[in-house]
Amino acid sequence: MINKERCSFIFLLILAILDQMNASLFSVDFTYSSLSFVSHLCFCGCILVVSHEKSLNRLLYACLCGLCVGLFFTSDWFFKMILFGLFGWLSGLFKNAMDQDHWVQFALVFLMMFINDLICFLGAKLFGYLTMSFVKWFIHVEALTLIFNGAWIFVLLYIITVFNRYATIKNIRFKRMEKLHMQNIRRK
Amino acid sequence: MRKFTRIQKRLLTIIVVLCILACAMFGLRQNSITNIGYSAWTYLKYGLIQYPLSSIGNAVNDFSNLWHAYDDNEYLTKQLAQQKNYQTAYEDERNKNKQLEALLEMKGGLGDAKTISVSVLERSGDSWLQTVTISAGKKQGVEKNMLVATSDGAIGLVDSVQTVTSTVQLLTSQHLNNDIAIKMSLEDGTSVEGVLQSYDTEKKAYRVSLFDNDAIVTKGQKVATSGKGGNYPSGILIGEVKDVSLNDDSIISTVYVSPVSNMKSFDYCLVIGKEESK
Repeated sequence: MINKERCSFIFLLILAILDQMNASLFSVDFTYSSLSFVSHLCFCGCILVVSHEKSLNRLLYACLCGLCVGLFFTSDWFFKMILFGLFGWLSGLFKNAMDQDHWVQFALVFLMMFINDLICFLGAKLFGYLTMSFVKWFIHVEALTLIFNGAWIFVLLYIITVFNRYATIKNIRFKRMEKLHMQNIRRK
Repeated sequence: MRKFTRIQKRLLTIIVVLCILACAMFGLRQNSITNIGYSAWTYLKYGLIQYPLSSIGNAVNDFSNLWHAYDDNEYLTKQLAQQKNYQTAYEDERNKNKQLEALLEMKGGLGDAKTISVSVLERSGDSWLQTVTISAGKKQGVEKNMLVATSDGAIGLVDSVQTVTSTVQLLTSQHLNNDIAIKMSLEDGTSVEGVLQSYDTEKKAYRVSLFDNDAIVTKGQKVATSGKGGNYPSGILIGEVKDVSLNDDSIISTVYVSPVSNMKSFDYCLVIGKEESK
């Protein structure tokens, strides 16, 4: 039987490392003279993974994910923990809609990612870390971020769907084996 | 009070521990006592995460630079190949320039003689030592039997003239249509005259008959046109004495004169005629 929690943890760890790799390879141009993007693979993966969990579970999973990413990969652990937790919990509210169609799932994750970026931008603006206009930020950073991560959401959806199917098949086989084993014991 | 499940308790514990750890690190960051711990943590974070990732990034950059190096190499190879072509073209142009400069110098020394600068249009392989076609004809004032010379000396006579081209019979052709009157200056200050009759392919020299058979002719003496009996001025170098043939009575029968050095290959030449032939 597959340990889903462990696999999800490894999956999210890989995504966090990929985020860091993207950040190293395609670093953001803070002069805003050219287009740049920010990789949100771990955030999107986290939303997709925890959306089917129970209310408190998804909040805790998402908080832990945000905390680990913030602590080990970046330095904004508290902020990340709150945001991951918030969006992780919110994703469960649209669970029924997300189960119906992949497009709805994509749209919700995409929207949450955009709102997450928007909150970060507004927060930075509010505290005086950023002085640039919304339009300039959107054109130079957010546009490419949405395109890049939008494409990756499909890839993540595909991976999660394939993994879920594989886990279901494994579980069925495991239960069947267990049943046969029990029958053999009874016969004896 | 709501009871937490086992997994929720575990998650809560991990979150609380990590939060305390993060808060402690944040709070003690400015404390000098914890500098060692903070440095160790930073080093650990750098060594485990940032350094491997930056190494991967550098490797990717190096790989992409490798492609740039490949492109540069391709570009340089092409440039090198072109450079060889340029080199050949440059050598060719330099040789032509040298020839033109020498001809210009020669032209200046011919005084009132009529000169027409021409280039070689055609010199076919099967008549390499017989004829050449030059880029001047009647229109430019070329006439039959005018002398054609390179910077080194005479090489032929105009055989036929067309409107804008002419055919030159080279002095190395086996049968010359017209003899060339020549003159040799002797060591005693006198000169001896004669006629260039034909070209000896075996000796690779012109056959010259002298009018004065008693003259003392030695190897290396210069032979030039005399200007008598032709449509060209005197003093144009024909060649140097290569050999002298004597008959039974020890009288000179034939003088062999070697042609000028650049006879085999030339691109430009002068058509030289007498002033009155204008």
